[in-house]
Amino acid sequence: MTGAIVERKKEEVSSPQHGEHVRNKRVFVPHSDIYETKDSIFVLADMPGVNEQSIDITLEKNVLTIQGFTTPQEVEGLKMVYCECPAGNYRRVFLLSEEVDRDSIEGTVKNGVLKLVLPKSPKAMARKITVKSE
Amino acid sequence: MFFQELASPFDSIARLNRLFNSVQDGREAEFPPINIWASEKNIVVVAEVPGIDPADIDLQICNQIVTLKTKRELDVPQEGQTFHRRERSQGQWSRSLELPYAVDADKVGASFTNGILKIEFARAAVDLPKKIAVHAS
Repeated sequence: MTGAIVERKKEEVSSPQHGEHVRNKRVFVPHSDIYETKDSIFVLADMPGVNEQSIDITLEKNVLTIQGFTTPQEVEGLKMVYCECPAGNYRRVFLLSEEVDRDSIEGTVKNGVLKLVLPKSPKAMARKITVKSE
Repeated sequence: MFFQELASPFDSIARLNRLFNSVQDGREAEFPPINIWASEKNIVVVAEVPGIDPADIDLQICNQIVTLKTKRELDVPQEGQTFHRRERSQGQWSRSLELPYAVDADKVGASFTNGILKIEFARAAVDLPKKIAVHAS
């Protein structure tokens, strides 16, 4: 129960070599967790303000792009006096390995967190080889 | 209008560091990050709390001090997982804010959508500035 735990601040997408964004809006990198179990890879990304309609996930070859669009949190008649979480969209690109079964990737959004389940393709799953004695 | 952050005395050095370091490196921040909108009569505090169950949000107001306590547990299977990236933090947090004027504790509205908590305060009627008419005698 302390404020000493440090949370990283929103990080902006910096990609001068890939050009500038057309939309005049800031773009942030969502903080993500990636973990792997025996049969799937899970990606969890924090994208507060994003719902299932404002999320865009594309997979082209092995490039997985996650985009989330937010609506500005303007409050009518009031002036912004303090800002720690500036408004903006989210974007992050991951490179997938060959072992993901592309057709059965599933994504869900709950409380502003995107959860992607990338099942491993059967041929890439680890197999135990039994050794028999002769 | 001035919002004062409340923290333990041990935090003051960290806050001072943050104040000076924020220009070069603004990576450290308290959780949850907040935005504040205000006018003479209303205050709206918006906090980004992704992945937090609304039932785990404990919001209290005492005099002019608002305390927000939350906890986040990560949605991870118990066994057999290998982590490749861990950027999302878990744990319990508490954050307090001092509001610039007294608010009506019965008229606080709090809503939660898509990981964003919005708290609306209205200035207490007794605290509203009153115009005093001056009569010529």
